[in-house]
Amino acid sequence: MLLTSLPMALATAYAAVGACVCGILGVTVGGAEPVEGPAAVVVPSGLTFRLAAVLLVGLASAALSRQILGAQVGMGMGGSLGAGLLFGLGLLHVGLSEEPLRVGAGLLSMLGGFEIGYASVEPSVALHGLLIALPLLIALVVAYLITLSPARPESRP
Amino acid sequence: MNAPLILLTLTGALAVAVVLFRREATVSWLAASTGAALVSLLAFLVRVDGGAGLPGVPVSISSTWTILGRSLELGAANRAVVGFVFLVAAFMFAGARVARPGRLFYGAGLLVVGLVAGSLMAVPFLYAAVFLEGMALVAVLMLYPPERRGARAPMRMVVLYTLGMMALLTAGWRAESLGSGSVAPEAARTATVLAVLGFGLLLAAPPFHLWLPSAAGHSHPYALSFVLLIAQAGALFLVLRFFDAYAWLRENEALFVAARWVAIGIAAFASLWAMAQRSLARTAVYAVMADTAVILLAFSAMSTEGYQLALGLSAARVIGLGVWGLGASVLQNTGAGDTTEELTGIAYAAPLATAAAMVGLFSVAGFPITAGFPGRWAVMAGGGAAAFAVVGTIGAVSLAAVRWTSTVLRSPRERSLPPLTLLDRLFLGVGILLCVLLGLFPQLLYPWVVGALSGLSGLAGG
Repeated sequence: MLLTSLPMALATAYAAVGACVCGILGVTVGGAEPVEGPAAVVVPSGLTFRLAAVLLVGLASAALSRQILGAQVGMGMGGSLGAGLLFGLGLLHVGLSEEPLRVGAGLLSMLGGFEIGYASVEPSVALHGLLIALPLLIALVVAYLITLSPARPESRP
Repeated sequence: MNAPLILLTLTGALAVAVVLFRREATVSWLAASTGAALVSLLAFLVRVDGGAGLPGVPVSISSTWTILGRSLELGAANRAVVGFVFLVAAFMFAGARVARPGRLFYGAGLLVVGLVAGSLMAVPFLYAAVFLEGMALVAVLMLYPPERRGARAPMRMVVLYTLGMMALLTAGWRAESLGSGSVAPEAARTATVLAVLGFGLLLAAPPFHLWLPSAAGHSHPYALSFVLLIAQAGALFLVLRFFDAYAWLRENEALFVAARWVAIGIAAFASLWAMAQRSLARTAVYAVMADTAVILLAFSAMSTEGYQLALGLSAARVIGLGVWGLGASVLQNTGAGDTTEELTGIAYAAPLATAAAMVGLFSVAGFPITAGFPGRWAVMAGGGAAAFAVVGTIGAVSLAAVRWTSTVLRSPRERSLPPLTLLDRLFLGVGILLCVLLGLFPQLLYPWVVGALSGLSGLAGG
């Protein structure tokens, strides 16, 4: 999707950073030792609730992205839908979680969606250079917090 | 050679040095505090683009560092604010010797201040939002250090700053299409709403303040004070630069009226919550939120004096919050605690640290004869609804401080705390003195701080 608006080199850099992020988070989760601490706050997270939430937020995101990125910016159907869904569902994930890993995953999805949309309106290489560094920094912060945070899973009523 | 490169390289080198010498507390402390003070001095004194470089050093220094078509600039418009941010950092690093906020404090603190300085020098200034996002990511290391595990929801600050960055970048894109001149408010509605949303997120205005209470409940008070001071100073200057750059924003009267009523709402919310807290750190956090509301009230006057007052109030906050952080840190480090139950009668066991925490809290509340009062007095002099809101905020937050004073003075309990060193006593004493001195003689602080606005010609009326 980034290739539709960015030069090949930048899109490749985004992909390489994405692979690094996966590596950092994978290694951290695999090697993290459980740490005692306060239990996570109970948030509604049953399967039915999640499916309904994903459906509602997904539809709203798709509609909004078509209107904003499609109609106003002139982005293609695939790009605008992808950006909208990544952003919307990432936001939902962030809203429903407190654990650093889950929040980090949501945040990275959100940022991915935003970057796809923003790349179509802002061609500056310098800005994208800065934006490319953000997922990597977020992954490092998430990895750092995983090593400090309690290991208990979030409750699922 | 260029000034932004020199400033940021020096800051980065200092950060690396204090990380390398993190086990040598005195070396780290000296390097961070004197280093930040020197960088501040450099920002104030360096003469760029044809000037003589530094006094006594005949080297030509350029104001601009260009990277891939975008640049960082240090010129008349931002020299004072960049120097101010480093000066605040130097002040806070100096006090960290007594507060002992953790081994990552100096290194992460220097990176935080470097990123905020980068945000102040970024051209176009809209990119500042990306630097502030980087600052929030590094600030996590200060708020949630390895010594304090098991925090709840530590990602909130990062999430809210990321949303703020996205809102401001999108606002910037819309603003570019509108241009910097006058535009009908209807045409600028989307850009205005996005910009206001971004400012709200970066200034931690309710309901975007969620990271503050959770950080207050977990983080070291001094690290929290540092992050609040530097992050909110960066956000405030970004707001001022935004309004300076776009006439359609600073000429929108309805926006300023809305800002006034939003500030009154924030002031009421924060004052009530400050009174209801049973944790000293959370009371201070809501007091800071009320202070932000007063800054917004000064800003909403839609005049050069109002913008200058907003800057002056943000400088006065440094003293109050810094001294509160120092006192509260010493109390926590000695094992006194943070809650009402833990701090009952603590003034008899640790009188100087308790006095510093209380005087700092009163100063953040804007109580008379403290550093926070003169700015509020000037906002009140403007009259209208803002004056009543400021009076109410001073009254309510001071009442919360009075309640804490009564708690710490309640009948003494049997407890023994480790004695303070001479250096601890010196820092706490000087902090208390500064709070009162700047309350009695505001002319020592305000004139040069408000001068920082002169670089923003749109707001200064130049």
